[in-house]
Amino acid sequence: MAPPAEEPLIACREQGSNVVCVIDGQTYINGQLVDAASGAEPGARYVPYERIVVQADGSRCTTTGWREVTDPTVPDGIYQIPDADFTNVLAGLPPPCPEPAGQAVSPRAIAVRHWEEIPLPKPNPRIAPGWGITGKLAYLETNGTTTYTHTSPTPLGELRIVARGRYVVDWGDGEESGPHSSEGGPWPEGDITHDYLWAGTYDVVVTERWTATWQIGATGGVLHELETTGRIEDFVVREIQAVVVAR
Amino acid sequence: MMVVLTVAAACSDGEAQVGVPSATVGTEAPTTTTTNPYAVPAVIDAAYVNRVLGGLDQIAGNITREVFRSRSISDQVVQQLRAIYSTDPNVQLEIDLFQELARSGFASLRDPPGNQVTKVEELITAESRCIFARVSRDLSAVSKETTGPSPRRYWVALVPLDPARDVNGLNGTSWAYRYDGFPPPGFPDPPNQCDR
Repeated sequence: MAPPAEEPLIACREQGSNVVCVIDGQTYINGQLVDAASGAEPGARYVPYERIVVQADGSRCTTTGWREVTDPTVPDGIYQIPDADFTNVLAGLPPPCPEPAGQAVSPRAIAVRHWEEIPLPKPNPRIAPGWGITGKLAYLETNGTTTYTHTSPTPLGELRIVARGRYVVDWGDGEESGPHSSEGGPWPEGDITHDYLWAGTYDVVVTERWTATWQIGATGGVLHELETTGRIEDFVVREIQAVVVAR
Repeated sequence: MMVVLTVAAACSDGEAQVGVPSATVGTEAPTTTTTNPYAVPAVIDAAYVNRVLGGLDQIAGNITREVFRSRSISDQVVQQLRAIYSTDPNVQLEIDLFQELARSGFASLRDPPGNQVTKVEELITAESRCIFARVSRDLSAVSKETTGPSPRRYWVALVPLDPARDVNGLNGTSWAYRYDGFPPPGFPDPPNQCDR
């Protein structure tokens, strides 16, 4: 015999000024309905947001929730307060929730599939003039791009992915810098620099970490982080010694 | 065979008097001396329930501190939540609360957050299969926006922990929340969750 169905939960909990309630499967945060179908209440305004949910087997996944918004200044795009902590939560974003059997593919699933397939720009780093000198700053040029926009037609409308990249540089001598939002540049303007202490040959690895938002019609959300890399193999750092040749 | 006992209010630790209408317990042999503070006694009284709630408050505090420290809602956090809540809608409620805290940069939390303190106000059902009680909850050690016990009327329902939800043995109390919180505005007090 199948176990009796669980009664729907009707309860609230609080933390500081935040009150989260669930009523018959619908969630309210500070009185605002979330995780509703878009347009659930005529006249109400909903914007998408990323929501970590727990599945029946206890694993996590990410779904696109819909959040009722009363603040007219909140944009129609993703409801995400730009905050480092929240970004950190999203950095560990679990994979998208599987689509229920028999249900049409979701806009989010389409966006994720495109995101994982589109060729993102790769950095092509260079340090002029092709070698370095100990004690003198090495100026790295990423020769990449920190913004990338992808548009593509889909059965649900045009998909638009706007990606932003930031660079992390492994200088090969045990030092790392970043994330850098700039492209660096040559001496004297470049702002991605490193001071090698010892002569030698180093492999410099530039990793570009991409974050992105997606939009199909009025639906949108955040995509998980991807990386592209570029390398400078065997970058030679020399030492210059002064030699007195005449008095 | 079940025996219904009517017990007096338990006030041995000096806490506010709590009403204990009745307790239904099994007929198994009386418990022997044990070092396990959460071993289910023959008569479940407010002192025992407070001890269990204290253990659950400690685990909930550990979870909050982990989220606060790591700034992430990891698989480990979800597993810990599943170990103290008997149903996933309850777990989801906590995850939503953590996500909302993250959206504000955890600004309302103390650094580091302490434990909430949950105390029995009225023990409504006290059985080995289910405990339902009206409680007070003090979040002032957790939240900077709170001083003293919440003015809200909280309820908790505890059921024996399902080992399948705690395969790593994270919850030593052997109880899990079936209900934890208060009704939404405009809703009546929650029905006795042990009658469901």
